[in-house]
Amino acid sequence: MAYTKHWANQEKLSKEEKAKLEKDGLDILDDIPYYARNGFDSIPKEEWSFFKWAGLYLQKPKEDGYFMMRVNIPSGVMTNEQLKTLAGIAKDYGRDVLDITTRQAVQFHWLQIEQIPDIFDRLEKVGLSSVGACGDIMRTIVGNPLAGIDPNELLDTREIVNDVYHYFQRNRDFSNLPRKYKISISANVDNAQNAEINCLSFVPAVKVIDGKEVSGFHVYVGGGLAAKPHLAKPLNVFVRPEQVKDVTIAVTTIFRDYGYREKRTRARLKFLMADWGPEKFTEKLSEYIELPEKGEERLTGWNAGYFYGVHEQKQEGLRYVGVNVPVGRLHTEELYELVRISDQYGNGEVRTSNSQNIVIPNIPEDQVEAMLNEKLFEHLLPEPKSFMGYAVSCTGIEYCNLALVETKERMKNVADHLDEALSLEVPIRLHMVGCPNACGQRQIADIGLQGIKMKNKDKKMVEAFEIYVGGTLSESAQFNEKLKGKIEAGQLDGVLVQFLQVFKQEKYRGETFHSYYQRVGLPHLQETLDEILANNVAVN
Amino acid sequence: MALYRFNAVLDEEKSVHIVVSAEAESEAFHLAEKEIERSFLKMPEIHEIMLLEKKLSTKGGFVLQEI
Ligand code: SF4
Repeated sequence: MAYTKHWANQEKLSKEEKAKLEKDGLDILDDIPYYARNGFDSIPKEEWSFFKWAGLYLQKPKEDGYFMMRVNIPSGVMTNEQLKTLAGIAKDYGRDVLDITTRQAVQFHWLQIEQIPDIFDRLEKVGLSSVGACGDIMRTIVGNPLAGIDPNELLDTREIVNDVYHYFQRNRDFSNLPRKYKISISANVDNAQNAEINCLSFVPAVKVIDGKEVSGFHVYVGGGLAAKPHLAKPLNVFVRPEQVKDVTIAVTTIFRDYGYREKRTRARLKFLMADWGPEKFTEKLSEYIELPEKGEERLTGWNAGYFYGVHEQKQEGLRYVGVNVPVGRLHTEELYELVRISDQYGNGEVRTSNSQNIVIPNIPEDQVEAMLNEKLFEHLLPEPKSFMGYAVSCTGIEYCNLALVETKERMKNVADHLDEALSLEVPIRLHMVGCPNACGQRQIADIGLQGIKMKNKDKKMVEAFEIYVGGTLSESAQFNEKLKGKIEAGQLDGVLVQFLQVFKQEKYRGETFHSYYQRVGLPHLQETLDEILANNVAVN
Repeated sequence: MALYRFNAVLDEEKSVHIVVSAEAESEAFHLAEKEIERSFLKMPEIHEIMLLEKKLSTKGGFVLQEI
């Protein structure tokens, strides 16, 4: 269905918008075979940014011509065949590495343009695609990694997610949105989807309609992190499962047609939502689709997408096993082992979670022990320690053009060190990012670490971190707050150990870091950090 | 070329923001220090200088908020 780009004659349009009017982002897919035949040098510089629509970004330094590729994994559900294909790509082209993202997608690095057609072929053969994983388009759909097996889900969302995903894949009606567009669809009552930080989220809810309780969804709109984080706001509507696609089409159409295109920095849906507010947005939505008012929400808490250990499925006699992938990075041997193990003990499926970890579903109860005795789980732990198990990291300086510091390996080392130095009965969600952007979701961490570069006392340029505390998406959802003071990278382990030792001493039994932060307050945490820094442990 | 955003702490805890364009981080640090030097009659001591953000394009800028 063609549509009119009513903004085409708008006087003030960003230069990216003008370029998108000349060429649709998806057109790059037609050009890639030519570039692949003729090499990186045949790609005009102006075309580089269009590769995002194909799920491809140039790594740093861009001129070297290596791409990062992100592959959509809607709701995190992968078949055995798909995982095997991903393992093969990592092995043949990706220098043996595959990263799980904080949106359940996966990423390869070090790809060259000549290799892309073969990678596309391999992905397509198993029903995977990188198209739309980046760019001003609907990104991979975040969902419940336990969809269909979850005793805590209101309904099975797998078909709904697939339906929405396939409708929007390569759909030229929605390939020119004002900006990136992130959605989540989940009926997990523990908000495994991080609903509040998506542009559009469907969360579990019920409503009595004609005397019958109907299971469906509430709708949140306008969330996002980045430089100006904003929590999504609920609309006053109830959506039946069979209406999810139509509501997604309606909200996406509103974003496409009313979203801001003058300034790229104000183009995310959150800016429109901030101006309109939920009432006006609900009213506008009603022009597209008739929906009843809100029912009763069924979100009961927030688990941040963590599912460690062995758990009962809704299917009797079956278990799912959640294991930790340190900072989301898997190597080829581990991937092939996962392919074998999930096939041997389960039905071959493996699922990714937005905490950058994995879940292996459908293991018969009597097979669990044997499976956990596999060597792989000495590294991918089903019961990880409290720091490594909850450590999240963005890509960092290794591949990212904007990064100021190294993050992935460092986060792993810091978590390892903390686990050795301290034991806590509550997890601490540590997120590390290499710049003020939000790829590692620093804003929702218990403790967020944001990289900077500084000159230390000896006038040497060193990597360092700012520290943020108190983020959560639980009932009292809030982004974390910055503490004053910087920690030189070399001092990070020591400062964090001391900081968390104080938490350990002062916390009540079972108290989470967020509850502690709320109880003692930011000034107290600032004093604690000041004292540690003043003892010359860190540079301040 | 990229744009680099700095914060520096000078004498008496005075905090200043500096934005420079440069080819690389080390050059950006150097240029930021030079910008500080030429902005004060009495040469201040730079106690601390931090690179907080970089933007790949030299077109554009940063909003300098209180830190
Ligand atoms: S948060 Fe910054 S450093 Fe990390 S991957 Fe994103 S842009 Fe790069």
